[in-house]
Amino acid sequence: MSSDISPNTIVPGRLSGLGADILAARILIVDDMAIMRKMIAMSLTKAGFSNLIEADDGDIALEMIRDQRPDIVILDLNMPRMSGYEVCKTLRRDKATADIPILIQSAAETAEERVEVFAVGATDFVSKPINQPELLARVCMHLENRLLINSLESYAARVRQELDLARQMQEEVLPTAEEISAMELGGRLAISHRYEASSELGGDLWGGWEIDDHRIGLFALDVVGHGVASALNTFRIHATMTRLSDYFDRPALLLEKLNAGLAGYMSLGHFATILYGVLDARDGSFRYAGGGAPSPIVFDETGACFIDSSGYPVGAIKSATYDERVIEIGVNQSLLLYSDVMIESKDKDGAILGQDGFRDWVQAEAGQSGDALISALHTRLVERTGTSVLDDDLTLVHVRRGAK
Amino acid sequence: MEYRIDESAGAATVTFQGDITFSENVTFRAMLKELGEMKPSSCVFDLSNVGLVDSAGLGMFLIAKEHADNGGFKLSVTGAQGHVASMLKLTKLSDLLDE
Repeated sequence: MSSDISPNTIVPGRLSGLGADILAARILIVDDMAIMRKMIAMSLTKAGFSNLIEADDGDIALEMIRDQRPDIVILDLNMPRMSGYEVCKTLRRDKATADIPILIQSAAETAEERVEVFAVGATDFVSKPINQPELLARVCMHLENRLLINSLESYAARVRQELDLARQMQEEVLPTAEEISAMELGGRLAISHRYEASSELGGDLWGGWEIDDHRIGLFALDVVGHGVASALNTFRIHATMTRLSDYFDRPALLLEKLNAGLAGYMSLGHFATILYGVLDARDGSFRYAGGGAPSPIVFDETGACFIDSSGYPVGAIKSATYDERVIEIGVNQSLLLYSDVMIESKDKDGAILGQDGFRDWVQAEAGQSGDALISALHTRLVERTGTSVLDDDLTLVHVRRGAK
Repeated sequence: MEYRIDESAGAATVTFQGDITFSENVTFRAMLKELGEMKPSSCVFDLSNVGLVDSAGLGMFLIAKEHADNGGFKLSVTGAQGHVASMLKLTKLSDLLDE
């Protein structure tokens, strides 16, 4: 709000003067008696207001409000053609005018009448005969409230826009359809995936790259927390990781270098759980290193088991080192990477699904295509939590090794 | 999440109840401040009644560990079960926190 001070303010109860934006407010005075309009206008003019418009009946007032939207309406109740009650109701029904402050001025004194005034949507009430300082104090208060609410609303809208943009940028870091197709190595692998950003900004990311004609690198990570800080850290980790292409075929070393590259940049308590592995489509070996990401599941129709993904999250501890492990993924077997939102999902009684519960889901849905499996797991999650609005990012990446 | 701090002869025990997740950040920091002012010689986080620790919760444990190192007291955790125990093991934080 402006800090300009009006020197001639005569509004009671104020330590400082009125801002220029308040004094610039357009005020509509509605009364069928010219003398009343004149008196109210005079007292507003004395306080420094200059943008005053007048109407002598309710129907005229509505027209003026449509054409030159006022910041506040000072409204009489009893007028020959259209009453103040009717004006209030009409303004409140229309979304475009529903939030204009309406200050009723009336001789109505019974409790019922006062209740009626507020029931039709008036913002406030002053009794006739009008006490001028009181009228001024109320006008200023409602103008200031409206200004504050407007500025909060526009701030909130801006934040919403920026968060949407950040969410969009985060989704753009995910692999594109072409990149995924390249990672399928000419049909040797089949990749299905689902990523869903939470209502807040989250920190999930997955991706990968073709290392040579029979191997791909594959990672899934989850940065701690939610919100802007976590999204920024996701970008930081992604940028650091893509610079480490010399180590793409050495998972443990890649995580060690990534961790070293992040140490000192991530603030305390911020880190990312991660898994990076190199899948050889020819012999089925999956050589990987874990940094505390949820344990991937290797499965087919006959069984499902976890692989050990324990290890220090990256960015948490300086000079952490990582173990390299190897497992074999058989022909027509699948590897599933997923984010913790799956295993931490709660049912209506607050019980978490847990790792074993999730593995049972995977096993139960195993006999179908990757896409169908992922959508079935998502459906189960929505059914379990009773909402499709997630409070954390969801990542599901399914890689099936084909016979080729 | 709720917590209770008990102290006896310089040994503090913080008993947690409920989930330790991202949304408990403020409460957790308040707890650390309270704990720091007690200047204990050692502290045990009792997690017996905790059902869920998410990664942000683990981050808070790391912050607690740093507080302990700076404040010159020993920090350990006890009573972790189920999901909480597996999270500590998965991220190897159990090694750091002398489970």
